[in-house]
Amino acid sequence: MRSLFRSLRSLLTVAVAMALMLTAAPGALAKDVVHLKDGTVLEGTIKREVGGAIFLVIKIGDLTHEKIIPADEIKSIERDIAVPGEEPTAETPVIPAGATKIAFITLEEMVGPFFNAKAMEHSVGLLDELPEEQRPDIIVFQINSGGGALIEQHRIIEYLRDEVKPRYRAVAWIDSAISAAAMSAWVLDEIYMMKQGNIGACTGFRNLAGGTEAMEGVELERELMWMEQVSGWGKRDPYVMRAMQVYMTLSADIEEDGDVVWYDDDSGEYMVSPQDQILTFHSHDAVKFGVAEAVVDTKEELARALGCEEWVEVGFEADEYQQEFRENVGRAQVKLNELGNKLQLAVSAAQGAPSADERNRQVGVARRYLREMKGWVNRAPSLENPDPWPYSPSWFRDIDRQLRDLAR
Amino acid sequence: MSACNVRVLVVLLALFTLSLAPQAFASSEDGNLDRLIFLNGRVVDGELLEETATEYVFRVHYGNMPPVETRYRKTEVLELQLDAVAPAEDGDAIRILDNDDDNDDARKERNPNAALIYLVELEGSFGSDISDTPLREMFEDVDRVFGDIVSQPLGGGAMTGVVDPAKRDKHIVVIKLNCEADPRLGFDGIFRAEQLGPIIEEQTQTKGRRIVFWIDRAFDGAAFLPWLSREIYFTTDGAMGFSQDLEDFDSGDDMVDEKLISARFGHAHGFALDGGYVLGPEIINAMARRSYWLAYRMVGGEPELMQRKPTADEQRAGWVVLTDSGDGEYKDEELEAVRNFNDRLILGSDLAYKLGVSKGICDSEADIAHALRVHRNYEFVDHRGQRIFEEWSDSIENALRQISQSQQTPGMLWEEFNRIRVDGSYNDRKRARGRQMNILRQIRSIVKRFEEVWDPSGNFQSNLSLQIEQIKKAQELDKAAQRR
Repeated sequence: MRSLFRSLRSLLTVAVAMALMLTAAPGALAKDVVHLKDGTVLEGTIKREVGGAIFLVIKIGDLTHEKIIPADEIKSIERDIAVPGEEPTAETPVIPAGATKIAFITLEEMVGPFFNAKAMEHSVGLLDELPEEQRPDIIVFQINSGGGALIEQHRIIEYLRDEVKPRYRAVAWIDSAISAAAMSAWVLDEIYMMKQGNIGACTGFRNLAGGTEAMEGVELERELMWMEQVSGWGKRDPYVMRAMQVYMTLSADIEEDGDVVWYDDDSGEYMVSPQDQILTFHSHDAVKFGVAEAVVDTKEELARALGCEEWVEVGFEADEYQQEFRENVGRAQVKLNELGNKLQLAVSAAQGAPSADERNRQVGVARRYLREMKGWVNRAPSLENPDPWPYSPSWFRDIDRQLRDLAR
Repeated sequence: MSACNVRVLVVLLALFTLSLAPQAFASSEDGNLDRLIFLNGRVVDGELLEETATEYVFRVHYGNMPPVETRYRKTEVLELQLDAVAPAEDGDAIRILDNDDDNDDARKERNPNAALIYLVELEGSFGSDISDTPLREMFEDVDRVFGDIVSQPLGGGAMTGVVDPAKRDKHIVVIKLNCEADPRLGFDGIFRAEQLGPIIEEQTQTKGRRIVFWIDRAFDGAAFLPWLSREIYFTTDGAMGFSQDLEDFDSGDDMVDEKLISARFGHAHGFALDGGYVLGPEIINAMARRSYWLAYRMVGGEPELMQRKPTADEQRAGWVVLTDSGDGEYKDEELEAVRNFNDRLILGSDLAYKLGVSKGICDSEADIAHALRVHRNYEFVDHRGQRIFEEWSDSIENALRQISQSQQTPGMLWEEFNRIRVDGSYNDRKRARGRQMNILRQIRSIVKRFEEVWDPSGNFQSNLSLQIEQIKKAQELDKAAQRR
C-alpha cells in the first residue's frame, strides 16, 4: 500500500542515507538549513524552488546529492547560513572497491503516460553515460502501478529484454504491480516483493459507454501468446500469467527442494486460482509459489537478498529524471484538460460573436490556447496519442485548420 | 468518550484476569484442572478430553467466552500433568476487566517513569471526518505532548526525528475507532485507507511510534487501517467488517469484475501482511466476499484456517465453519441473517481474538491500560487530538452547509448563485456575472480546502473554473455586442 503509498519522508530519509555512500560535487560557501515537520533537519544548498517545493543539494563532506522536498513537508528554512572555510570542490565520485553498485528507478502510476518505455530508456541512458566506475551493476525497477495501456507494456518488455537485461542485472521490486505493470515486470528474471506488495490481475479490457468489456477473440489470443513468450524470457511457467489474464484453474505442488510444479487443473496440492477467478498474488504467496525471490522492505534488505555484502547506491539522476517526468506529465494532464475546455469556450464564443472583430479576437484566444496545449504535449511527450486521437500531430493540425477557417 | 480531560484515577483491585493466555475454567471430576507444559515454557490449564497418538484435546475457557476445544500437538508438549491445578489458582484470560474506576491510590503510587497514553476516539465518517489533515495534525500534537522526538543521526550531519528508543514502549497512542466509510463506497473505502495508511506507517515504521487500535466499530474503509498495527483490541461489542459484498461488484463484464476484485484483494491483503497478520488475507477474503468458505480450529492455542467446506469428520475433529459460500442452500435468508449472518465474516471481539487479529477485549480505559501491560503505572495525557478532529468535522459540516449540491438542501452559496438573474441593463448584467463569478470562486476555495475529502482528483475545482470561464466569455460577448 502504500502502495500507493510510501511516505515521501521515509523515501527521503533512505535517499539521504544512501547519499552518504556517494561522493562529489560543488561545495558551498553558504548553506541552507531545512527543518522538516517531522523533526528532520537537512543542510545543503537550495538550487531552485517550485511552488513551495525545494530542490536541495545536500553536501556531506565531499558528498552531494540533490533531493526534491515537497512544500507540505517543510516546517522552516534558514537561508544562507555562513560556513567558514568551505571551498568549492570538483566532482570526485568515489566508490569503495569491491562494492556492488545499485541504481534504483521508480516506475509509478499509469503504464503509458507515466510508466513509459521512452522515459525508461532515458533513465537507463543516463546510467549508460556514467563513467564506468560509477555505472551500476544492478538496476532495480521499483514498481508501484495499477496498470494501464497494453501497447506500452509491449514496448517496455521489448526494451527490457533487448537493451537492459543483456547489459545489467535487472530486478523488479514491487510495491504494487497490477495488470500492465505486472506484465511489464514479468520479463525480468528476478522479482522481489515489498511486504504489502501485490502482482497480477492482468485481464485486458476496455471501457465502453455501458460498462467494461474483457478482451476477446484474436486480440486476446495474441496477448496470451505474447505473455507466454514473456514468461519464457522471465523464466516463469506460462500458466501463472495465464491465470492472471483469463479464467483457468491453477494449482501447484511444492516439491521438497522448493521447486513449484504447476497444473492447469485442480490436481496440485495447493489451489492457487480457481476456475472462476483471476489471480493476484500477495507478497507471501508470490514467494511461496516461486514467482518472487523474497519479501524485502528496505533497500538494505534488498541488497542483502541480492547477495551484495557491500553495496552503494549510484545513478540517482536516473530516478530523478523519472520523478521529474511524472511531475511534468501530471501537470500537463491538468493543464491540457483546462486548456481544452478553454479552447472549446473560445471557439463557441467565436462562433456566436456579434462582430467579425470579436470573432477574430476569440479565434486568436483559441489559437493561443492551442499553442499552449502543443507546448504541454512537447513537455510531456507520453501524452501524445497516435493519429487521429486528441493530442496527436494530426489532431493539432485539424484544430488549427478549423480555427483558420473560422477566422475567414 | 473524550480523552481530553481524562485523568484515570483507578487502581486495578478486582481483576478477573491478568494476561492474554487462556484461562483454565473447566475442571476434572475432582475439581482440579489438567496442565500442559510446552517445550517453549508455555503453560495451559484446562480439562483433558481426549488423547490421541499425536494430540491432546483440551477444553479451555477464554475469559467469558464459551469453552473451546483446542488440540495440541504432542511434539510440542514437554509434560502433561493431570489434576494438577485448582481452578481458582490461575487467573489468566483475555478479558481485561477493571471494577474499580475511582481510586486515587494508584495515581499516588505512580512513579515518574509512568507510561503515558494518548487516547483519541475517532468517530464519524472515515475519509471525511477522519481525514489526512486532522490525522497529521494529531500526530504533530502527539509529538508535542510526549516531547519524545530525538534526532537520529543518519551520518554526515544529516538527522531525522524518531521517538526516543527509551520511551517507545511507554509513550502509547491509542486510537479508538467508532467509524465507517461512506457505505456507498463499501470495499472501495480501501482507496481512502490507502491515502491514510502511509501516515500511520510513517509513525510506526519510520519513527518508531507505538500505536494501538481499539475497535468499537470499524467498517468499510475504516476496517483496513487497524491491520497496520500489531496491537489491536476490541470492545466486547466491537465489530469490524464491510457493508457490501464484493460478489455484487458489477462493471458490466464478469471476467473484468474478477480482475478488479482480484486487484482490490491484492491491495487489501497488503494491509494485513504489512502489519504482520499472516492469516489476514484469508480472513479479509471471507469478510469481503460471500463465496469464500472459512473454517477454523485451534491447534496449540493458535488458529488454523481452511478455505473450503470442512467434511463431517473434520467438523467432528474441531473445525468450525465461520462463513459458508452464501449460495443456494447456504444463502442466509433475511430473517436468519439478522441473528446468524454467516455469508460474510464480521469480526466480533471473541472471534477477532481467536483468529489472532485482536490481542484482547477491553471495555474501559483502565482495561486498555492494563492490556497494554502498563498496569497501575500509567497516565492518560491531556491533548488536543480530540479537538483537532472535532474542529475538522465542524469545518466540514459548515462547509457543506455552504456548498452542498443536494437538491433537497442546497448549500447557501449555491442558493445565492441560483437567485442571481443576469438581466436588465448591460451594467446590471455585468454586475450579476461578477457576483456569480465571486460565488463560484468562494465555492472553489472551500472545495480546495477540503479537496482531500471531496475532490482529490481536482475535477470538481476544474469544473468550477470552467463555469467561471464560461461566464467571463459571456461577458466578453455581451461587451462586444455593446460596441456594435
